[in-house]
Amino acid sequence: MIWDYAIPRVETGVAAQDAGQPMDNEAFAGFYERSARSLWAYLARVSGNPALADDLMQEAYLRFLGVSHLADGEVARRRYLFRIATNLMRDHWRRPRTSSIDELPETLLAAGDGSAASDAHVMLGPALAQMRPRDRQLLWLAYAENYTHSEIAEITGLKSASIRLLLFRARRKVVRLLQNETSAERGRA
Amino acid sequence: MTLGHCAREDEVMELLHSGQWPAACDPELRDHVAGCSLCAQTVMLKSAFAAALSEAKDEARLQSAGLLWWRAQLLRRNAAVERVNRPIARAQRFALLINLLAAVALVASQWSHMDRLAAWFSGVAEAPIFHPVALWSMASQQPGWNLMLLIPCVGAVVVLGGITVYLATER
Repeated sequence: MIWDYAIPRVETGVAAQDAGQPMDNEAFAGFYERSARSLWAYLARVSGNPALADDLMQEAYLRFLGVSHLADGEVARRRYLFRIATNLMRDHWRRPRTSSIDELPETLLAAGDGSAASDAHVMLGPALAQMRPRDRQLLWLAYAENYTHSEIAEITGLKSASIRLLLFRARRKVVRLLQNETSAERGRA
Repeated sequence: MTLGHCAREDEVMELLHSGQWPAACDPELRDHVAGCSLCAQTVMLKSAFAAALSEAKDEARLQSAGLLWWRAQLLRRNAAVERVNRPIARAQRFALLINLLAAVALVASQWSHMDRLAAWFSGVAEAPIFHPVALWSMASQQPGWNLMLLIPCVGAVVVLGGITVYLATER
C-alpha cells in the first residue's frame, strides 16, 4: 500500500514501554485488567448511570491508546486515564441535551443491594445522590481511589489550592447526610 | 475559614489504605480515633467508600481489552491516513484553481472570436449524433453504419460517464 510508510507502526515490547510510547497489545491488556474496574466504578458512581459509564470508559481507553507519548509508570498512566474520563464526563454534562452538571438525574445514584455492607455503606448511595456531581467526584477520588489533593487537582483540572476547601465542604455535607440517614433509620426502627 | 483537620488523620488514612485498620493498629491510635470526631469520620467515610468501590467493581461489565486495542489501532491508522491525505487534497484544490484561472484567461483572450465559436456550437448541437431518433434512422438506413457497433459505443460512453462522475465525487 502506498501510504504504509506514513502510517505509524505500533511499537512492541518493553522498549516501547520504557520510551513512553503507546502500549502493545499485551501491556495494554494487563493495564486494562488492573484499571478498568476502578475506572468503571468511578464513572458509574459519579455519573449515576451505569450505561453511560460503559460508553465513557470505552471512549476513555480509546483516547488513552491514541496518545502518542504516554507518561512513564503505571501510577501516572492510571492518573492520566482518570483525567481523560473526568473530562469526558464533564463534556457529557456540558452537552445541551443533559443541560448541566447540577441537573443530572440524581435518583439514579440510589444504592441497590447493600445487604452485606455496613450501615454507612448502605446509606452512602442515597447520601451521594443528594450531592452535586463535582462533590461526588472529589469524594470518590479522595476516599475510594486514595488520591492526594494534588493528584485530584491534576485529574479534575481544578486548582490544587481549592481542592482542600471543596473536599472539606463535600466531606462535611456527606457526613451530615449520613448522620441524617442514620437518625431517620433509627426513627423508623 | 478554618478547615477541620486532625494531625493524625493522615496516619489513619494510611492505615486504612494499607488494610491495617483496625487489626494491626497501635492501641493508642485506636483510642485517639475513639475520641476524635474528625478521625472517626475519616474511618467511617473511608470504610464506606471502600465497600462502595468493591461493590461497584463487581458490577462492572468489561469489554475485551483486545477489541479495544484493535479499535484504537484502527483509529490511529485512519487519523494517520487523513493526515497524509490533507496536503494532497490541498494540492488538488490548488490545481483546480489554476485550471479555472487558465480557463478564464483562455476565454478572455478568445473573447473577440466568441461569435464564431457560438455559431460552431449551434452547428454541432444540430448534428444528428445528439438526436437519438435521427441517429437511429440514419444508422439503420445508411449502409456504412453498423448498429451492432453503435449500441456498445453509446453504452460505453454512458458507463464511462457514470464512472467519471463517481470518481469525481468520491471523497
